[in-house]
Amino acid sequence: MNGPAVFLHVAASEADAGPALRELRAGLEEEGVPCRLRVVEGDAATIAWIAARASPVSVGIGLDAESVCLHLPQLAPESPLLRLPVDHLPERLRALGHNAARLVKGAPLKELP
Amino acid sequence: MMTLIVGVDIGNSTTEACVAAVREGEVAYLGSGLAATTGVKGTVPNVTGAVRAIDRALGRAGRTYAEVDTILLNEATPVISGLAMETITETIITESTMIGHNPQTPGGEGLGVGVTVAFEQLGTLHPGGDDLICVIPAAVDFEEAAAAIEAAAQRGVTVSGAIVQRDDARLIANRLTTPIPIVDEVTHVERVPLGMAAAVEVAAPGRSVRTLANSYGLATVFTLTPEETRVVAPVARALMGTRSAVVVRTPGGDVTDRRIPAGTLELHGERAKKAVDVNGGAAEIMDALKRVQPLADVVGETGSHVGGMLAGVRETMADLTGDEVATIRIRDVLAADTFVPREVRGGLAGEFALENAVALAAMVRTSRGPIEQVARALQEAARVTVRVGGVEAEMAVRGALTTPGTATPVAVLDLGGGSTDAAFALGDDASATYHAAGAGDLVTKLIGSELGIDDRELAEHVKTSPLAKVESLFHIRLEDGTVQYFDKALPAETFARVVALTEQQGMVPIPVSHGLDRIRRVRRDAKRRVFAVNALRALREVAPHGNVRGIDFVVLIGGSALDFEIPELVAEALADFGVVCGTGNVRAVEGPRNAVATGLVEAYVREEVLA
Repeated sequence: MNGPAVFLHVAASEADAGPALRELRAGLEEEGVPCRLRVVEGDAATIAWIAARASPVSVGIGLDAESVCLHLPQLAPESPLLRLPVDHLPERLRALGHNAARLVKGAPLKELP
Repeated sequence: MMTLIVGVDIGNSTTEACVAAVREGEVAYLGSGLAATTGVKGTVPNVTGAVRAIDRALGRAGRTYAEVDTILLNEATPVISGLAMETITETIITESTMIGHNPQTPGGEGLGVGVTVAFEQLGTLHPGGDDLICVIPAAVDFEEAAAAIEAAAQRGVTVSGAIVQRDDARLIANRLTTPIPIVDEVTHVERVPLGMAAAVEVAAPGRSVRTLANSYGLATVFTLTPEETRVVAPVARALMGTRSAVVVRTPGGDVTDRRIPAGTLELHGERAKKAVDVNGGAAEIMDALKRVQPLADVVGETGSHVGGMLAGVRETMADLTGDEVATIRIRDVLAADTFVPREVRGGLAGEFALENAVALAAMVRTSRGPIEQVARALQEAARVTVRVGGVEAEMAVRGALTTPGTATPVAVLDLGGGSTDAAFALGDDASATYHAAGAGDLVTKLIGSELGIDDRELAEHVKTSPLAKVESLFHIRLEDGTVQYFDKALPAETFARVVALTEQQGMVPIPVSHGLDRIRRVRRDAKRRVFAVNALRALREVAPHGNVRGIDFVVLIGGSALDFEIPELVAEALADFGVVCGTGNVRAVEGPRNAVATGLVEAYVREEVLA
């Protein structure tokens, strides 16, 4: 369980945040980057930052009831690299998944549709 | 008695001024200034820019207009330049037969051959028919797509490949028991002809397609006759080097790769005349030009591309100068071979093909500009006596000679925006001058077209700044290999991109798919094709007996001499001729700037001493 992976932390209350989670993971899968899911507590930015610190590839995603955040350990916990509202277009959430993977791969990021 | 004088040089793109105090033949330079030239060089609107430059110079010198005795204005060389570019090849795909683009993440691996079928039809087909290539539009979700292909396989209907509109190839392939090759991000999936034989190929990571990039591979897949194989050969060529590809065989479908008849260029020399076919490329044009020198005019064949191109240059020049189109004469041209990425007509995924093109810079001699009018207007604006002094080239030589370590015989190369001008001096006065078409603006144009950058400002950044690759959000690798770290995260849109490190705007991302090395090569080649070629051409024209070895010192001046690598590329080109070549440092402080303005003051002082 220690291979390279983007860590995806989901706030407990949103463990069934099915649709958003599906898009995020699809984006990562299409890029061929594994991800590991954990159910935790906290707001999206904080859990994303903790996920990034824990991830062997230093990229974390946090998802709570309101928003989804893409984070890096070098950034301040309260200011993630990207933040989107959860009820946003599925294409944008998918693109965020793509971008998390591209940060790992060192490929230029996708423009959010 | 002390007199305060100001030298003003109105150039094509910049106007420069310098303030000097003269006492008994001794000159003390007090300050200099620079402003963008307003209006076409040699016309009354120049006054605005001239006043701005003088203001700045006086400000630095701590003087006012009231203290100035005389303003010296250069007799501007009445030449301006224009640019044009024309593609000479064109790739057309008729009836949409191929998709040769490189999605970042195709799915599956290998070659799939079958008949194209719409996704909605998949459920209705019975086993026993042909193998299928499924065409999946954006509305279909990846899970739905995978489930339908699985279900078809269960029924005995073989889907051997897929063409997908969304970025879903891997998602679909991962959900199949037996993965099939899938090409995704096909923008115009609705244009894929249905019911036709097709092949989808995806190569393993790091490899490129083999069967579809091979003419005989295509012949095998589609059982083609030798005649038909000949027709599809361009398809194979177009697919070389891509990781994934789709070829759909439509009856009568065709990819053509034709040469557009660009027309002939007629070079009228003062003694000889020569016609040259533009399709022959830049080398043939420049060779013909060498034979007819000195050039009196150039005309393009009427009704041809090159005819239209030169007519365009003439019209622009006529508009600028107010001269009649018929009186505009092209006195020099520089041709450069280039290539232009063009979207392939009939392509399905916005594929690009590199088309060959010829870029032409043309130098036009205008009727002598009424410099006295400019002088009068400037005199009114500044309320100071204005004197028109000296020919530009002579003044440039004088100014350049204030560079430490220079002596005659010297050649001054003014690397500007529109033209590369050479002046040669054996003694104090310039004995020969030449104005070669093509300079910084042509370099910008070549860089822009070869990299597919439409934004002129961005192309300008690529020209004038070193490159770096953003390797993480906290560090970049510069083009010389050194690494620079940052405390704050760089903007996300620069991530993994090549950026230009500009002086004014910091990091500017270059949104093209080329790597740093490729962009750097395009940049340096463009500079070499214009400045190294023109430096040699212009020096040959002014050197004694056309022999560059007869020159001891070459001093580079002008805006493009400030570039971080152009002086180096020019020096490299002149290395074989045993000349000392370097960037000028006017009055040991100005660098390659202010040569003509300084030359005006130097000439004035010498006259005063003689008088």
